Amino acid sequence: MSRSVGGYRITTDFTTAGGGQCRWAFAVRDGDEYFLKEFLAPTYPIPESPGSATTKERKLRKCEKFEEHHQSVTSALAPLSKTGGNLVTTRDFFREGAKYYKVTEKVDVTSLSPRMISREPVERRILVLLTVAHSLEILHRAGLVHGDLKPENILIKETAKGYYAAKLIDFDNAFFSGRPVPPEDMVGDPNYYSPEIFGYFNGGVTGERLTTASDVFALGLVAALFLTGRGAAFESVADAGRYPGELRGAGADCSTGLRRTARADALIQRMLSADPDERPTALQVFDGLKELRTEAKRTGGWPRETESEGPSTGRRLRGKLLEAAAPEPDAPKHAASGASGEGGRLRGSLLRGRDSSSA
Amino acid sequence: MNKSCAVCETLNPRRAFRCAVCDERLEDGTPASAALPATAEAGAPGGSVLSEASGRKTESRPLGELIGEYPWYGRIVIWPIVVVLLAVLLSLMAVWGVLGWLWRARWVILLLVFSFLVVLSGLAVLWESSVIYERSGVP
Repeated sequence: MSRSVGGYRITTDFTTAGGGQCRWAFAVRDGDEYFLKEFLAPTYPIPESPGSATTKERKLRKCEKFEEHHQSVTSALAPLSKTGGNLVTTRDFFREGAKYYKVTEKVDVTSLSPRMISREPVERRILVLLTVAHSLEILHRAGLVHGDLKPENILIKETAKGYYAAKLIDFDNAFFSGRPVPPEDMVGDPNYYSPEIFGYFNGGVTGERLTTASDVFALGLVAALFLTGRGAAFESVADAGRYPGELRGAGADCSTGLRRTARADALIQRMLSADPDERPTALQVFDGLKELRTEAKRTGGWPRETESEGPSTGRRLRGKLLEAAAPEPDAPKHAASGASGEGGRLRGSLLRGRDSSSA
Repeated sequence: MNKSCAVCETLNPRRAFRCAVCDERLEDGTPASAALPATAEAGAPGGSVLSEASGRKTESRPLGELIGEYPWYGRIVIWPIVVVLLAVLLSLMAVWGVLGWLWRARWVILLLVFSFLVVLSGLAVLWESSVIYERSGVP
């Protein structure tokens, strides 16, 4: 328990809870608490590690690419925020022995699920989304794509005034707009992949098309989930897969659950456009949400307009639409996610499909 | 020192008086601000800038709302104007004392001049508030 890594004294046991290709623990340095993540892959080929010279050389090349990518993203993130902000960016990235480590500030989170957020007054729900959109806009302004935007990477914290603010975490999958990592190295959650990300996996879309608009698509799904508690529902399309991005890419219609609030519905529908060029920017989303919040504050909420569709409508939709909302996390995650098992399987099958079709 | 919003914890530039995200009024010296390293100067271009709330586009707010944002002692531009105008007024009153034919209408004229002063001061305050607001860089 008293182990130190890179000058950080580990204060809890390492756990893989909520992590895919990593495990995490809390640590202390100079009296400040940190969240420390240990990557399980890649492992650096130290002299004592097993394997032939060729294997070690291959691992070394992989580590160099990994290190270069993370260093560049960390450098780009560094000036964007500091302690206490809503962007929980990387404070330190280093290697010790064969393992790589990443450090961020520790955030004291509230156990608030998306469903619980959706029961908050309208203006408070929108405020949570506003903080997410604002953080995303800062990120996009720096030319970075988060690449793994989902409720698990949005920590909810109760503020001094009793409101809820969202802290955006986990920039492991971040990449520069239009310059993603190769498909086989991409991680993330397929429930929140945009249509163009699926296209990238299938080989039908080039990397240049993977821009900040992909994050806006994911934010649209998150927004529908936070506002209604149920998330967006997509019409099923034969042979199109089951994920929102796949279905939207195949032309499926979508219900946000906010049809009675034309402006909110229109905003989220635009965010969920199949064509990335038709989606609003994060700044436009921020401005749209701000207008909606002002209106909600003025009217004291708009329950009759914005409450999610009632059970009867839901029952009608169930037969026709496929619930495509992401699985609801019971507790906010403060661990970095790597590729989830599902994501890994999906990627594998997609890449295999691409290979077989091109063969 | 940056200002952390007590409502949404957004980091705002030092001189901001309303949060860029939730529009709530910001207070000075919040814990999150104090925790920032001394080098993290808000609004400074480049480098280790605490810029979560910087770079936002500006939006207009009613000037009447701005009047309440500034204490009277900050309006150093206003007072010299008022003092000069009062001096002019007193001089005029002295002249009027000599010119008896104005004496009968003195209260009406005084009322008119005071009204003029009040309107002029109000306009100056509004103008100054808007200038300060624009210079503050607050979205």
